Amino acid sequence: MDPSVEWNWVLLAYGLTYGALVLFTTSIAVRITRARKKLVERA
Amino acid sequence: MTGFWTQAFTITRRDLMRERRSGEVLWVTLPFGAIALLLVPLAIGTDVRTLEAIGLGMFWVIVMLFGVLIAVRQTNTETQAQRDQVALAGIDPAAGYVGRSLASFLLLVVFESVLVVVTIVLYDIPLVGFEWMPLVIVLVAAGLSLLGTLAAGIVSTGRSGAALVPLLVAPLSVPLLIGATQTFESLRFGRSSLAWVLLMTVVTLLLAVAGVLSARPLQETG
Amino acid sequence: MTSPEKSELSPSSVWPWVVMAGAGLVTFVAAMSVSPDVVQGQLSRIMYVHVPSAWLAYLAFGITMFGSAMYLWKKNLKWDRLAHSSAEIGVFFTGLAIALGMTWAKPTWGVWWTWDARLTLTAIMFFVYLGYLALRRTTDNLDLRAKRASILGVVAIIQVPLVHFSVVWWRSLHQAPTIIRPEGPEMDTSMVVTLLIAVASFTVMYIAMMIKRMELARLDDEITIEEQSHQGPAAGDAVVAPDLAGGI
Repeated sequence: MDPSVEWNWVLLAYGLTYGALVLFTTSIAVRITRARKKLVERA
Repeated sequence: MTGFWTQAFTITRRDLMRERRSGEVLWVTLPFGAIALLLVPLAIGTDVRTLEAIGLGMFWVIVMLFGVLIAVRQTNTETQAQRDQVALAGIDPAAGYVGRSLASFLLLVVFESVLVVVTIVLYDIPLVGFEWMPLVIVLVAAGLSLLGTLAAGIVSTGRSGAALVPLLVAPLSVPLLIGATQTFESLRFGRSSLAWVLLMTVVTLLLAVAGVLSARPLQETG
Repeated sequence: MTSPEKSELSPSSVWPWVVMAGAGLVTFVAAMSVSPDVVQGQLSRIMYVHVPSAWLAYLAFGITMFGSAMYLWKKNLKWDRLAHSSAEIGVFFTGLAIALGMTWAKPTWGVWWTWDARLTLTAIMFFVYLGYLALRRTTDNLDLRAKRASILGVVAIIQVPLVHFSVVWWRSLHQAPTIIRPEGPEMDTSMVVTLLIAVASFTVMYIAMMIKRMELARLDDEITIEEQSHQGPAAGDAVVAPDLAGGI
């Protein structure tokens, strides 16, 4: 297979991996921030 | 206090009488399974060889997916008040579990038996190794009813949609599905199917143990 | 009731995020600097994210089942939080492993999906996870939710090995024993080392993610307890204490 085509797939794989990781960890961070805010407001 | 099996059979009788009154399995679930078998060739074509090849597999898949509705239905028709009544009557939760599973088991045997005939007719299945069919039907019915009743007990009322119990059951029913299909596959190729039958038996026994052990914890504050 | 100042909530640590970023960087550098496979070419680099993802999918699953069993034994909600956190992270890595498997399979084999045992099992595991998470959404009662989820977790401990066994056995009958592994039949040392580095880095990432996810789980549980303890008196304002000072 043409190496440049191979690299396309590799880029897709790594883009997917790191993109998804960033999104997931951001979601956790955002949810933590919201939860902390909510706890402070409630009590 | 009445014995374990007396309690279990009381529950079984109650569930079967409910089915007799509502006729849900006979008039709804069974036709639903049958029409599913009918829909498949409409979608994938009526080539005789293809249908013959996939027929039994389709049958078992439909048993797994639709058969679990039988176990769910048994649990869903109960209200919390009815459940409390049973608990207050001192029925051992494990006996309740066994009783409900037994009722579902019997209904599933009927379900499978009728549908296998439908499958044989619609898909022109050669009857190779069918002397094993009664045993496999019984094992699948046992495993599926135990699994379905357990899953229904875990979900209980709660805020669940209609598909949560089937969703929980489907992946865990894979050993039963593979065991059932491979029993007949291996017979078709002249190999022994004993190992697959043993697999299904082990699955069923382990499910029975899991179900009985979790019956009491599930009932408490259930 | 005094309101806790924001400073009373211990500050949320950023170190797990830093560690995660570092681990991600290490994996990337290692995967890009190793020489490509002779047969698969650059596609072999996909293995360095696919295999660790699959490893984490299984590790997280095991931790979920472990946490479930521990909760049923100890009845301490921290075990339930462990199980839940691991399930959420596990479903993420399972999905990722499957997606990465597809990006490897398509250029290599021409198909998006191969029905080999490992891939099929990963897909089944994905659905077990989803069922677990769906079950948790059926109630807000912390103890009830924990109990139900834990029982499902323990049932999974019993059933999943059987699922694994039946699928592996089934495929062994239907597949010629060609090596359908992303790494191919033989790997040279540099590739093995890189793969180990990637697996180790991802494991570090998992631990860091678990720390933060469990912090979130703790916060969520606290909020739920707060909300549930703030239920007013049974009749609310409908009942007024009698005025005994005046007339009748």
